[in-house]
Amino acid sequence: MNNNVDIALRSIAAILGGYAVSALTSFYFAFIFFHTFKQQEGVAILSGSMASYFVFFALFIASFAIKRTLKWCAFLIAFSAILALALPLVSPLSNPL
Amino acid sequence: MKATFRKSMIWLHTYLGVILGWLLFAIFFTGTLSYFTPEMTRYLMPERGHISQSQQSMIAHSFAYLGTHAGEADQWRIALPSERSAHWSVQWREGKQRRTVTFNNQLAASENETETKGGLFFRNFHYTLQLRGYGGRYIAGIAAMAMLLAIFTGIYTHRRFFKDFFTLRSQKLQKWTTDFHALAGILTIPFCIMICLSGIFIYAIMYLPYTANANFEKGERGVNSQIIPSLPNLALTEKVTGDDYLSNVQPPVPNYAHILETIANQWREANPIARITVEGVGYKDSRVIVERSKATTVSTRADRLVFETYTGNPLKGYDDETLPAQVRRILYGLHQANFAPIAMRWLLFGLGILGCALIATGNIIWVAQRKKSARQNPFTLALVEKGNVVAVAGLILASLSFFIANKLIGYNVAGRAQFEVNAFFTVWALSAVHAFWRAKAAVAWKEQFALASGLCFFTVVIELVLFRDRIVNSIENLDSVYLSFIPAFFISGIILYWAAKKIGLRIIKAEIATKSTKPSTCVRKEQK
Repeated sequence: MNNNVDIALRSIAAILGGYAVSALTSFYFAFIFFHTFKQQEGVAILSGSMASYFVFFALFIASFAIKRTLKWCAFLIAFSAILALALPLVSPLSNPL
Repeated sequence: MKATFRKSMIWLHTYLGVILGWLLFAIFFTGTLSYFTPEMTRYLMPERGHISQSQQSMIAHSFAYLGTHAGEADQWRIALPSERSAHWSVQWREGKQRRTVTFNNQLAASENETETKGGLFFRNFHYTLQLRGYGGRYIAGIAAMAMLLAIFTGIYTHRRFFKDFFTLRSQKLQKWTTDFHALAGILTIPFCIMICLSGIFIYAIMYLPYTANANFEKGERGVNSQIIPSLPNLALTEKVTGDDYLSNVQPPVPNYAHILETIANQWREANPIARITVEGVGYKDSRVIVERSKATTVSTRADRLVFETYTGNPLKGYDDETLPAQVRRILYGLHQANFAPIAMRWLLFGLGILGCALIATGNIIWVAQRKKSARQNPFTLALVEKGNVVAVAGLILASLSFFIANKLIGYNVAGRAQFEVNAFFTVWALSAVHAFWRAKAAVAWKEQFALASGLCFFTVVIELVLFRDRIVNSIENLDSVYLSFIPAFFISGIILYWAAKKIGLRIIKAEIATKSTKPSTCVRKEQK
């Protein structure tokens, strides 16, 4: 693959893919914190948001470290899609565990 | 990407730095200055002199003033001065208008303070980039995340910690810059991680608001109102009369003597009170909230005690915050460093400056390395090279202009606060024009550093000539906060002069080197 295209794809994966996945995981983290640690809704949301920044960080680094760009992009899209489709299970937080 | 993980990280480190280096420098530099926000405000407002009154007498005077002038207001607020701010004021509402009166050491009240943004300009700029409402805080958040990524990738780039730490080759400037970059990086790792992580977590929900929006009607505000402890609403029905209480209580003034006695038993440090709020002035169910100084806590939320206003009896105060909310507050507190005594504040300031130097040297190294490569696009190289001058020297010049504008613009000039801000941005823009106009970046560096050095000395001269009375007063009162600005500017001037001179010498050396190589090439050609 052309080097510039490779870098552009990785940047998109890192910035947009990383943000999308971390935004989606913040729902799951908040849900877990709400149910397992019996936190208040607001507190669980704050903790969930804080935790999902680490996901963004890890995905950003991974986007520039993984060998195969297209596979990584495909994985991020598929993973985001699964997280998005399963969202009604965890949102709102009051859903049963 | 690259052959190994480390090489990929080096690549990422380089480009994160080049793309966001200027922004990071601007945020780091103004953020570092913000460690002295109240001090700078005090320096920029001549009326903020040393206050030697005791807290007890200031509170008595404030309540007496409020009782006379604001008896009909619902809420009173007294802000007591700290050593850092020297700002003593009372505040109340009259209809929709909020009135603030400040007092000086002689107990004289004044409603007209010098119109200036003061140190808050730098503080606000470092997280809003003067673009509040236009995405400034999001840009600052992106920069903070980029810095965290740059630290992580930088650790991979310079993985030989001990070797890097003890290496500083001073013979060649380029090697010195690279070694210094690594050394500054190692020294500032914990500091930078703390600053960037806390910077992000302050707005943790704002940057990722989706969970909050999905669960609360008011989004982030809804979350905050749930997690930030508050007091129950006041039911203000019955007005109080003087006959209801002991003879020493004269409503609407609270029974503060009793409240202060209780506080003295709980908060043992000197001058423990930062702020007093009276809610529901003149009503039986009114309450007083006393906020402790932040000098004793790492969190941004200091202790608060609540009392019945006219009996002085303690009430159930605020609930404790939950652990995640406390973590955010402590990170916020670490970021602001309100807890830090003066020596620690200077240490943090030093680390901040080292962080700035780390970012600046990173960008300079990029240019120096690309200059060697023939493949590098000359336009990009020139852009980054000149941009570095504007980002570093230009920002220093702009900041100094802000101080000078404050000192030179007359106190009665309408809109002077905006003129100061305009001076900052105008000088920054002029620095850009100068840097791009100069053919050689080194010359621009030298001239802008020399000018910055001159401006530092000029600031000292302005202070000595125009503010002699204030200096004499401050010496009499041993006001070290105000007085230390003069040597601070003087020393900064010397450092900038030294930098300008060093760069000047390098330019001369480079010119001699080119002159001495030119004739020899001619000779060789002739021989052929």
